[in-house]
Amino acid sequence: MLRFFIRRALLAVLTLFAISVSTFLLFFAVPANPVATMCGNRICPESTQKQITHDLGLDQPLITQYTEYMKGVFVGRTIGSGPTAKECPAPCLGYSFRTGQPVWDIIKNGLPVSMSIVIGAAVVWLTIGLVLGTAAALRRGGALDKFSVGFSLGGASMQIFVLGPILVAVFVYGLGWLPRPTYTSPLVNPLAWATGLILPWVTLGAINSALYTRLSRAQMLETLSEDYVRTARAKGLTRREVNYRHALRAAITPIVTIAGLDIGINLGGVVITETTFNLQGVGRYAVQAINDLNLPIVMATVLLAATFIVVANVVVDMLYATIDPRVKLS
Amino acid sequence: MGGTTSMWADGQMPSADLDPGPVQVADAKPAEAKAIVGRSPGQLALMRLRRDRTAVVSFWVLVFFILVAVLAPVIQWIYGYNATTTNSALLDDSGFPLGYLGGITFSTDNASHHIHVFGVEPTLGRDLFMQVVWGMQTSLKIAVTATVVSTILGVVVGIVSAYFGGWVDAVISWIIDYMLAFPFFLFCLAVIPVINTRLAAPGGCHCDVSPDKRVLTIIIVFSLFGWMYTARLVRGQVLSLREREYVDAARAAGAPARHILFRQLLPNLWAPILVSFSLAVPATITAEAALSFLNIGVIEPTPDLGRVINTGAQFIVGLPDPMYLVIPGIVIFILVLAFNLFGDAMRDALDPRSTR
Repeated sequence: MLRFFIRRALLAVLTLFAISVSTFLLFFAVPANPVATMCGNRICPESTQKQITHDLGLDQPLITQYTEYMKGVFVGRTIGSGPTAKECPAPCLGYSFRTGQPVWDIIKNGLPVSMSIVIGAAVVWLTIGLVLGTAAALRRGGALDKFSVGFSLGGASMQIFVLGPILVAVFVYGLGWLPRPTYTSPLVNPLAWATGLILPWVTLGAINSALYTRLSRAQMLETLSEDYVRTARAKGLTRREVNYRHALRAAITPIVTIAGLDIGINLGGVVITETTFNLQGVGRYAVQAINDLNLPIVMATVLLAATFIVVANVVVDMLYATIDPRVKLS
Repeated sequence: MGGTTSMWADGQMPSADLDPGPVQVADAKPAEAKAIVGRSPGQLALMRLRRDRTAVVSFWVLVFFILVAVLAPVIQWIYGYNATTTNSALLDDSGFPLGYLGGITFSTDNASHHIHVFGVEPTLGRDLFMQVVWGMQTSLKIAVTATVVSTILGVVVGIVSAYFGGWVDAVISWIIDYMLAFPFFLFCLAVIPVINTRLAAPGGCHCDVSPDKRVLTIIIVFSLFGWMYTARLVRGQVLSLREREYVDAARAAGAPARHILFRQLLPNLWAPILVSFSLAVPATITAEAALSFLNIGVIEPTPDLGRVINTGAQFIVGLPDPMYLVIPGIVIFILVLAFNLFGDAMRDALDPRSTR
């Protein structure tokens, strides 16, 4: 077991290394002229271009640039030299070209917003998905089952950026029941935090719950036809005990696994949700940076997301191996 | 798939009298029963599909949408109005459409002397109906091309990986896993401007990338990052198929690897490939619309559903003109739903275990 964990972790580190190299190459080596790219359609004076080139270290070999960048991430570094040198403590991800703000500060600003959206939406989609899917499987062919099938098909075809504005139109501007979606720190005002984020949660949650309704319905149906469920029923357990203590428990494990592995797909959903509702999370910063060609922010957010996905995958793998006795490690 | 002329092109087959026909199992279940008409799995699947009401309806909806997209120029000619004509006379002083429901009108008694069945765009006064028609063309063009390319890529990689096994398989599998670890959507977002600057003038200014090149960029990115699921699926299928007798037989007969891979194995893979293809198209439509919604994919003046929705979302605030978002939103919902329903129906129909 320990050997599996170590090997899995090493592989993850290797993957992360490969991702960091390819992301770096893509953003700093592929553009014909990264500096002009960063200047965008504005005309940069020669001196500014020289300054940016030097600040980025683009006048140095690629390997040096990469090792400098990675060094900055782990131990911090000094960007540039001479009077314009900036001290950048770890984790140093560079500076924004627009505002001169450290990228790490920008990410720190956005992270609570993004995390609030993901966690709240995940609660919504896992609850709806598991409850509706299980209930549908227990009464197969019934009205609820038909509804759940329709719901999962409709939800899977709905777009966040269509449903979101429609919900805002109805609940904020039409009925006036909710304030415009905003982020308030839960530490300052938990109620404002919840009411401000309820529409993003419902939007992202409802659309994602379509998939989980379908999955948990299929999983539950499969589990209910297992021999051990029949055995449990035959030995005289009540329906409730069989359904919830035997079947549901076994059916939930793979769904939680998939939820963990799907985190990458959901990150895309968060980006769209933040843009739809005008919330300043990491995803929205990333989109703005992409439109601005602010490469240090783009690079940092892609790296962050990739790290997040790889770590989540490792954790899920390890949890799965620990929880499910049927998983054979080889 | 019966053509015997080119398949032994490598010249390894000694004579032409070895007809490869019997080895192929694409049309499995030969008509053994005398009285009963033998049907190939393909025919059976088609029969099941025809009997499935959802499949039939979604199929015709798709045909309708595809026709609209393909015939967009004809529709424009019949409708007699294009997607780019702006007309501020159709708007009130604050830039919102005159009349009701976003300026929907079936009479010609207005400033443009033309009907506007879906209404007009706020601030610019362009006709929404034609924007949706042309937007559908953009969406479907990108989604279908990218999915075809990525499916072909995935099939070739999957077959090669599984058939050769060993280090080839190990390397390809690692690449697949590695690419799946990328945050696909975020990565697409980030890569597109980078590629656009490459395609643009060497000066590196992304502003002068032509709209056509932007569409091309999106197709390239979706193709390059969309093949992994198909490759994984095909690899799994081939791993189980390559141990079958007919593959052994073909190998014993001296058939070259290319023949075994693409003539013997591929015909047996078309069912899962078709299903994954038909479910990948709506996913790509969604992703493309999302990109354009984020202002990174298709931009003005190329008509696109995601871009229209992005514009429309601005007019939700205070509810001056929700129709400009709702109508394209409904269109894209029906389009994606029809694809999803048809893909689902196809999966059911092609599943040999399902007997209905």
